[in-house]
Formats: sequence, C-alpha cells, structure tokens
Amino acid sequence: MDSFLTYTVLGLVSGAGYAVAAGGLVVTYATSRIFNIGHGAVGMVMAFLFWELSAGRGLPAWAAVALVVLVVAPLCGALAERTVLRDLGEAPSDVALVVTVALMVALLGLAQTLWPPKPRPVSPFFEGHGFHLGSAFVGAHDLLTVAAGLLVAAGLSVLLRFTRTGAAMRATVHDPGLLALFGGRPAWTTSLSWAIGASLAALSGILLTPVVQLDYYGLTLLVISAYSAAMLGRLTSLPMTYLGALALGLLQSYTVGYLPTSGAFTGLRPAIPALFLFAVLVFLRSPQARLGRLRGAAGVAVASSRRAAPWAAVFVVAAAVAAAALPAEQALVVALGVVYGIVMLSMVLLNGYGGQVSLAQLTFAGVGAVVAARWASGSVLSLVAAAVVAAAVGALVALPALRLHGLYLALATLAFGQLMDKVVFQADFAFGYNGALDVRRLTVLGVRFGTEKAYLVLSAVVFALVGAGLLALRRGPYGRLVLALRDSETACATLGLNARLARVVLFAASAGIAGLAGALMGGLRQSVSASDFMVFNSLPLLLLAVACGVTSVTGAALGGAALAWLPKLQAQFPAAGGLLFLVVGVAAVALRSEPNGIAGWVFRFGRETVAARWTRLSGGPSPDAEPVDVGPVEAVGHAPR
Amino acid sequence: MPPGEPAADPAELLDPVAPGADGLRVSRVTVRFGGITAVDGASLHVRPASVTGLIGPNGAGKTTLFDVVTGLRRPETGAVLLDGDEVTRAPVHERARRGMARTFQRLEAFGSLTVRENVLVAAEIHATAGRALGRRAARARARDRADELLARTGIADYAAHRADTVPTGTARLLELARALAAEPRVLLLDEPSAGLSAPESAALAGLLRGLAGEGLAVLLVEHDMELVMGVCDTLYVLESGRIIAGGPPERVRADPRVRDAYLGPGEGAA
Amino acid sequence: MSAVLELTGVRAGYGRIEVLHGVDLDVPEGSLTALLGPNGAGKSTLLKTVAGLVRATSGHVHLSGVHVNGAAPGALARAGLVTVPEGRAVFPNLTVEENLRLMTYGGRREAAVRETAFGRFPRLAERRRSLAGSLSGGEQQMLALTRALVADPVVLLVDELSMGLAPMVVAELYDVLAGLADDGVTVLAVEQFAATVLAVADHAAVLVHGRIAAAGPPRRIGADLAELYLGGAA
Repeated sequence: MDSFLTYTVLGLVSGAGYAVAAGGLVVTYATSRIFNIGHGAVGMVMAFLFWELSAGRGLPAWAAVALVVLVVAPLCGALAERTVLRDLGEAPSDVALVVTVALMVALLGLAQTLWPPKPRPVSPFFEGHGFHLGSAFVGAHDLLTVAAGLLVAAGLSVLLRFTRTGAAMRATVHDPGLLALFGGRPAWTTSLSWAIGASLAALSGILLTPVVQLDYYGLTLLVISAYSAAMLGRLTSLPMTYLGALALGLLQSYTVGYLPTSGAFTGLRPAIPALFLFAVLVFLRSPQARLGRLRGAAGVAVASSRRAAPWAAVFVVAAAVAAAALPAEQALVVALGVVYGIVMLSMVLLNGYGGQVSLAQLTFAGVGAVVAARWASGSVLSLVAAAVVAAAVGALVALPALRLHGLYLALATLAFGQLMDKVVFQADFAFGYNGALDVRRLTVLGVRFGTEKAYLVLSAVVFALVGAGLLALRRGPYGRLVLALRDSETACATLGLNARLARVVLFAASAGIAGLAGALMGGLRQSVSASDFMVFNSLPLLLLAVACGVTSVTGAALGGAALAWLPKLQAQFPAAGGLLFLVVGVAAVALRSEPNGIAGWVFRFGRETVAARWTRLSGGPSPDAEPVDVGPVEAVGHAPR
Repeated sequence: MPPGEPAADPAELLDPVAPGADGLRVSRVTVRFGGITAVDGASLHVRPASVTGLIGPNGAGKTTLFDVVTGLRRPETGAVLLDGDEVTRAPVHERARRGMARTFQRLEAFGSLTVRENVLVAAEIHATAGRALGRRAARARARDRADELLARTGIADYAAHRADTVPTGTARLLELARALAAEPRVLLLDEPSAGLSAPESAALAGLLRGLAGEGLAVLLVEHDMELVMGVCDTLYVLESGRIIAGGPPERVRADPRVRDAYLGPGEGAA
Repeated sequence: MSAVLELTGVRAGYGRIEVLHGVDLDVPEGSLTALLGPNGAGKSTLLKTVAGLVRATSGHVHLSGVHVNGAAPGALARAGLVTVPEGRAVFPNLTVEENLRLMTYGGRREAAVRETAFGRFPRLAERRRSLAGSLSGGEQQMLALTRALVADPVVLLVDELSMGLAPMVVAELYDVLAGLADDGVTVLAVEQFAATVLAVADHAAVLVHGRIAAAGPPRRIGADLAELYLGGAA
C-alpha cells in the first residue's frame, strides 16, 4: 500500500509533465492543423539550454527557466513557424509530416553538436524540500510540476475560451481569410500559437528532466506521450487531454511498480506510451477525409523499361567495378549504401508513389534481419522469408491505423518502432537483451557470396531488380491505382475499390522491401543487433530519401549512397558531430520547394542538356516540349478562399 | 411548407418495388449536422432507362443526398435501395461494385494522372474488382473501354494531359467518363455542366439521353435549367432538405411552390 | 446620386478561365442594389473582384472615386468595405459569443457588439453559448450580418444571403439590409433568390454569362426574371 502511494505520486508528476507538453501540441494543432512531430525535440533542446544556463553558466535556476520558457522558446517557435512551417497546414499531409520530422532531426543534431554526450546530472528544483504524504515523499519539484500542469491546462482553457486572441486562434484554422475580413491578423495569430507551443514544450522538458534525465532521445520521445494524451482529447479538448496525460503517467508508473522486472516485460515501461497510443488509435473515430482538392502530386517522368534496363545494367556493372577496385572495408561501406538504397526504395513505393509516411522503415529492416538470422540463414529462402514476415508485420501495424489518415499512420509507425526497440527486439526470440545475431552469408545456386565485395555486387543486383520492379509497377495498373488512391481515396471508393485494404497492401509491400534490405544487411555485416535498426535511425533515412528524391529510383540510389557516406565523413571530421544531422534536417526543409529532390534536379539538368543538343542539331523545338498548358483547374465558383 | 402537413412524397406514389431492375430508391432519408437538418425525410425514385433531375437552391442538401446515396455519409434515418436491395449500411466500394457511380461537384479527379489514366484506372478497378483470375484479359478490355469513353465524352484531345492541368469543364467530363468506366446501372451526376460551354452542354445533354437509352438510371443535380428541362424525364425539387415537388418537368416548373423556392413567395406568379 | 462603387469593363476569372467578360455596374450611394443571376453567371466572382480577392484582368473598379484594382483585401476592409461572403460567414467551431468577440476587431467594445447583436436579433441572445455551427441557417446569417451592423461600413457586399433559408427568414434579413441602406450604407447584395430582395432593393442588375444582361428598377427587372431563370416561363 505504501509503495502504491509512492507510485501514484510518481505517476501524477509524470502525467502533469505530459499534460504541459500535450497542451502545447493541442494549441499548435488547433491553430495550424500541423502536428509537430518535433514538439518533444523542442523541449529537449530547451532542457539542454536550461542546463547550460543554470549548471554551466551559473544563472539562478528561476532566471534560467524564465529566460528559456518565456523568451528563447517562444521566439524560436515563432521563428520556425514564419520560416518553415507557414502554410504547411494546407500542404499534403505527408509534406507537413516530413518537414516536422526534419525539424526534429535538426534539433537532435543541434543538441548533440552543442552539448556532446557526457553525463549531465540534473537535480530537481528545491532539492530536499517537500513533505511526506503517508509514507510517500512528495518533493517540491513534484508539486511544482503538478501545479504547472494544472496552471497550463487552466491558463490555456481561459486563453482559448475567454479571450479574443484565443477565439482568433481557433478561428484562423477554420478560415484565415474570414478572420482577415473580420479585421484580425491570421498570420500573427498563428505565430503566437507556435510561440506558446514551443514555450510549453520547453517547460515540460525542463520539468521532466529529473524524471527522464537529460537524454536526447528520451526527451524527444515525449512527443509520443504528449500525442497519446492529446489524442484522447481529440486534439481539441484540453480537459480530456489533461486527464489523458495523468492516466498515462499513472499507467506508466504502476507498470514500473507492479509488473515483473524480468523476462518479456523488461523495457516495457518506455514502451507504455506507444502501447497507449495504439490503444487510442484503435478506438479513435476517423476524421472526415478532405474533399475537393484537384491537385496532383509531384512526380518525375517514369522511365520505360527500355530506358531503365541499361541504367540498371550500368548500376550493376559500376558496383562490380567498385567491388573489384576497392579494398574490402570500403566495399562494405558502398554495399551498405546500396542496402540503404533498397530501404529507400521501400519509401519510394510508400511515400513517393503512395503519399504515406512511415517513420520506422528500419524497424521493418530489423524484422527482416532477425528472420534471416533465425530461419534458413544463408539460403535465398531466408531473403524471401524476411520480406514476407516484414510485410506481415507491416500489415499488422497499418491495420489499427487503417481507418485513419497519414498523420496517424506515421505516428503509429513511430510508436511501433519504439515498441520494437524497447520490447520485441530485446526479447530472446529476436536479438536478445542487448544481444547480437549472427547472419550467415548467402549461397545462391551453389555460388557463395562470402565477401563484402561479393555482397556489394549482390546488393546492387537486388537494388536493380527491385528498382526495375518498382518502375514496372509504377507504369502499370497498380502504379496508376496507387497514385489514384493518393489523389482521392474518396473517388477510388466510389469506383469500387476497397481503399482501406489497398492502403494496407501498399504499406505491407513497402515493409516487405525494407525487410528484404534488412536480410541483406544482416548477411553483409554478419552480425547485427537491435541498435542497427533503432527507430531514430529511420528518420535521417526518411529525410535523406526525401532530400535526394523519394519520387524516383534514382533518388533512392543517391540517398543510399549519401547515408553510407555521411558517417564516414563524420568519422573523418569528428568535430562536425551531430552537425551532419543538422545538415540533413535543413536540407530536407529547404527541399520542400523541390518535391522530387536532388534527383529532380538531375533529371531536369539531363533533359535540358538533351533538349539543347536537339535544338542545336535540328534547329527546331525540343522533343520534350510540354503539352499546351491550359491553366489550373481551380474550379470556377470555389476559388481559393 | 407549413408544419404538420405531410411532406409531398412523390416517390411513395410510384409503382411498388419490382425486384431486378428497379433503379435507385431513396426513402425518407434524414441527415443532421450538429443541430442543422440538412436532408429532411427526402424520398425519390430514379428509374432505369431514365434521367431524373434534382434541382433546388444552393444549400438545399443536394450534394448531401448524393453522399448518403453513395455511402460517404450515414443518414440518421431512412433507406437507400439499389435495384430493390437495401444498401443503406453497405460501404462505399460495395455500392460501387453493385452498380452505383457518381461525379463530384467539387472535383475529385486524380490530379497526378493523365486524363486517359484517370478513366483507365477506373475501368481497371471495375474490371479486376474481386477477380483473381483473368485479370490480364480484363485489363485489355479496360483499355478499350477507357478509349471508347474518352471519345464518347469528347475529351480524347486531352487524353495525354495531366488531370490537374485541364479546364474545369474537361475535368467534369473526365469525372463522367471515369464514372461510366465502372459500368454503372445507376449514375449520379453532381452539376456536370458547370464550366462547360454551350455546345459542350448540348453534347452532354445528348450523351445523357443516350445513356438513359442504354438503360441507365441517371440522377442529375444541375443548375442549368435549359439542360434539366431538355433531358429529364422526371424532376424533383429539393428545398431546405425536403422534396417539395416531383413529377414531369413541365408540371414541376409550373408548380407555384417551385417558383416560390426559386424566386421567393408571391412574386413568382408576376 | 453619385456611384460609390463603379465597375467599368471589368474582366476577371481564375487562371485562364475568364468568368466576367466586361462588367459595367454603378452602385449608387446609400442604396440597396440587388445583383441577380443564375448560378454560374459570375456573381460571386464579381463580389470577390470588388473585395480584392480576385484581381481584374482588365477594366476598372472605383470605390468612392478611388481606383482600387489590385488593392489588398485587408486595405479595402480598413477603408470601410465590409464583405459577408457566401455560405455562412461565421466560424462554426466558435460559440455565438466568441464570434461576436471577434467582431470587436472593428473597434467596438464587446459589450456594445453584444448589445447590437442581441438587440437586433433576440434569437442570438438565447443561443449565445451555442456553437455557431449548430445554429439554424437563418441564425447563422443573422450572426454574420451583425458584423455589418457593428463595423460601420461605407460599402457592404453580401453574397447569397438567402442560401438554403426559409423565405420568412430571408425577408427578415433583407429588412436589416434595407435599414442599413437607409442609414447611408451602400449595399450590394448578390442573390439567386430574387423575389425577396427585389421587394426591398432600390436597384437591380442581372448578370448572365459574365455580363450585365439587364439593369434598372427592381419592378421592371422582376418581370423579366422568370425568363432568365427558368428558361422560358410556363
């Protein structure tokens, strides 16, 4: 009974911290319809900044809190809104998602650059002060956190319910144009809400640091807890959000207290928010799909098989030449790049064609690696099994989010990735607790791919086959279907397509490709562990894919190469540290303007060169002249508001 | 309409349900959003081999009724019958497979695909739905059907253009061609002529008559009265969510309640 | 009587689709002018062009003698042009009171705004804590019109006030507009639902296929309407 009280207090304190974070999420979402995946990361950076100011620079704690929460965080929030987030609420949901993921990765990179890993003990505010409640000790910091949670919930309620600014915040998301007609300033209102959101993220980060510790990832993942709580309030109701946060805090605390600390339950605690989120997702009602948007997605011209085949051959030959020329360790790096490229091909299918975002493609690769290690290791069958099992797991992940749209699916994948990291991959049937698995290298039809060099060629062949397969798919009926589904799920359904099922199949296929890549990676490395497939590593992968061109196979090849090469560069210039993550984040944000990424530039450059040559030769117009543009189809009668 | 007076319910007066080819029947459908009743006990019957018009002032609930019929929205009460079978609770794609197709007032063409691909994908969905074998042959037929429909709707010239670059009128015809690719028995058209030129509208009228001639039950929401009067066999008028009149177009047009709905009470008779 | 709002040869549209093919229209000061026409004739586009939401590709829009082609909507609003756009110009996710609170951007105090709203439309007082989206269409339109009442406009543009409303309610709303015109506000009301507005309007114009097909006293216009609307009267 005594311990029950202690766990209750602990749970309420974490819950109050989550409530502060969730309140910030609700405010920004309610005013901009952008769900900020980087919300937790903002809190993380601000918590580090607080540590720097107080512990590092000797500022009194209260002054440091005030400076961070009331000045720096709001300014950063408003700045981020003005520079990268503005109008994203109107963009396709996958674009908004990727941009906030970029924000998150950039902040992670920034934190690791400014504050390189080292122990940074953080003591609670007013340490030693407090009182006893029965046998439980309630610290002053705990009280402060609970009070902050209550104050924030009450303050936000008052702001949104009883002030003109609050009314304007809720009005602007519905119709900024109408708010302007009323005489309000929608742009200013949105900036303000992001400032408040960032401020609350900072506050929650600082308050929860003694619980979570000053940890890049722990604090960043607060977004899942905050999101689960906010989801209970349907991203609008602050009281429900608050209750949800408390419930989550308590659940988590009791889990720690009463579940056995060994076996399958090890590491369950950090996964509670993820499980909670899944539960919420299952019971959530689907929001109304957005109707009346006739705007196609970006895409590059799809190469015909006759044009793609030579390039595939060139790719394989180049890999063979590289394998022959490079020393083994460099061949390993290049081969790794190709394998990452295959993971990115899975993103081309899911995101580039399908418009859905997964934040856990590496986790599916991890599933593939486990299968390849444990079943028929060394034979081609292991590759097939890896793809099939990963696809099945993918379908399982997509199912709860089946009725829901892009954002929810993406968050479900993030939660799934965390669950796998903390629980499943640690289990004995997977990698084992902090363990590694040996994967045997393949023997295909008696040919043994025993070296890194051989694996480089093998990976290149697989990449070429999967890439060519994707292109064939894209050209064919299924590709049309995937694009149609992306443009209007509603129209697809009214034509007789079971749209939800189709989305699950797409997601599963993408997970299957990632699983195949995981199996190859296992064989290449010979020994793999859970840390190779951490969900956080999926994020730079996604961003690089988008930056290099997630709409094309070429982009995936470029992205894979970049991903393999970046850590090398990082190793050569250690000072750069997390800076590279920062670069990736910034690049992905900047590339918002070029949806086809670097590959898009490459294609355009190539086309222009060809066109110029053609013009020189024939003196006539280029063969690639665009068909006559007959103007946009903003239907008359419902022009943009 | 004064309260208490039973709503004119023309569909109820029509012949009893004949199983098989009965077309579309909407029976006493009511839809509420929040506190607003968008559709209020509306009933109508769209017979096979006919064009049935549904007119009414803006905001009368016409598109909401379409959403109920095609399954995008659940009605609070009432039923939707397709060829005598109740489909009120069937999912959207299930109704489509049973022969229902529609276009959208706010366009829902596939913007990333070309005009031809838009129609083709619809034909392919239709040809391969629930079919595990013979998909290849079905797809070949789908291609022929798509090309035939592009020609029939008069948008073949735009076949290679991306759908998000064509004029509104073309996009509307594209939605019509796409709906036809699903080989429906009941076709719901939501303002298909908006954005069309006069000759295009006339061609559309001819096309609609042709479709009815092939046995389709066509329900047409339209503001262009010339088109409505020219092609409809039956006309219903929806006002504030209620069907206030129904019958042959000439009779409906002469109905004082209809003139009131359009022109305001009293003055219409001037 | 001078024209406060004057359009000469205005062409406008969306992208390359031209909707207005040269519109000439004078709206005299302190009058209630009805702009009628069948659906798709370009009425809403005309209003949007005046409000600065759609830019005229040629021709001129003069507001109180000032050439305002290309002026920003915000600038026009500050200069006294109040627009009540089509389709319930209120925030449905906000309560009646919160909608009224947002109308204080016009400079009036919240108490004064409420007094005006509840005095003119007692039904709004009863539903002050309801979400605007849950009001009946008529009540929503009353709420929307309150903004015109408290904003002290020079010119008021109203788009399809009657959309989906019962005739009784429409008549009540148009009485409000007529009252505003009597107070010297220049009102341009776009309507499909002709009879009620013609009963209170000082002038009327009919837009067909992007051109003014007829203009003049409401009575005369009313006589021709059935022809234009139903394509040949029965």
